[in-house]
Amino acid sequence: MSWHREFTGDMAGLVEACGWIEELSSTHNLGDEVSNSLQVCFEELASNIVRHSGDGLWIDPKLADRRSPTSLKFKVGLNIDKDLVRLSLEDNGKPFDVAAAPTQGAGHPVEDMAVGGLGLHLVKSLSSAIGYRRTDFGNEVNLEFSRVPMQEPTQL
Amino acid sequence: MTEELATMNVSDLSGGITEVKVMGRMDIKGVFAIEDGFAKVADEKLKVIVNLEAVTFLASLGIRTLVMSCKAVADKGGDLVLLDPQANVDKVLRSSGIDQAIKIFTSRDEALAYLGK
Repeated sequence: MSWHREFTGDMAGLVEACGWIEELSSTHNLGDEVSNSLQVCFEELASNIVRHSGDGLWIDPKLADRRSPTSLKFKVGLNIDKDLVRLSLEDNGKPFDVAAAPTQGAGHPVEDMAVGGLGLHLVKSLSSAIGYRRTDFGNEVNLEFSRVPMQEPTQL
Repeated sequence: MTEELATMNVSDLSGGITEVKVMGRMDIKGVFAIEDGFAKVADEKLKVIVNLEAVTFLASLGIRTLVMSCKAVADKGGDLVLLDPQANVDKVLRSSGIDQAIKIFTSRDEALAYLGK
C-alpha cells in the first residue's frame, strides 16, 4: 500500500504532516518499534525542511521559473509492505544531502553537545537504510524501516 | 491522530531538588505546550529531575527541549537528570546519544541520591 501527499513548508504543514504519518502508523498496525522509529525520523527530517530548507531558498536556474522564494513545499510518500516500510520526503528547498551530512554521535558532554547534529544521528540510527538524490523538484530523501529484526544501516 | 498534547507538573522536593513530571507526547505539537515551562525551570532551578515515565513519544523537538534545558542548568553549575523513560523513549534517547550527556535513571531513589550528593 502506498500513500502520497504534499504539504506547505511551514509550521502548519509540518503539524499536519506529522499527524498524517502518526495516523497511518497506527491505522496500519506497524508495530511499536517501527511505528516509533518512522514517526521520530519523519518529524526530524520534516522539521529540518521547514526550519532550514527555506533559508535563502536555493535557486536552481532550471527550476527558477517554477517557484517563488515563498513556495517551500514538501512531498511525502509512504509505502508499507509486509517486511519493509519506505518513507520518501521531497522538498524544493536548498540542496542538502542528509545521507552524507556529518552527524554528532555519542560521547559528548552536554556542554559540548551541538543540538543540530543529534537529529541526523538519530535518523541514521533508527532507520535500516537511508538514501538521497537531487530531483527536478529538489531534495529527495528515502528511508527504509525493516519490519523484521534490525540490521546495520546501509546506503541506498 | 491522537490529541495527546504534553503537559507538565513541577514539584519542589527536599534538598533543593525540583521534579518535572512530563505527560503525553513530546512531539512537534506537544513541545509547544511545555517549552515555556521547561525554560522557566531551567532558568530558575539547579537540581532537576525530569520524570519521563508518562511520556509516550519523544521526537526531534522534544529532544532539543531536554538538551537545551540541561545545558541551561549546567551553565549555572547545576544538574538535570532524566528518570524512568518508557522503552520507546529510552531507545530514542540512547540512539541519539543523549544518554552520554544526560544521566538517565530508572530508580527515583538513585536519581535523588545523585542530585543530593
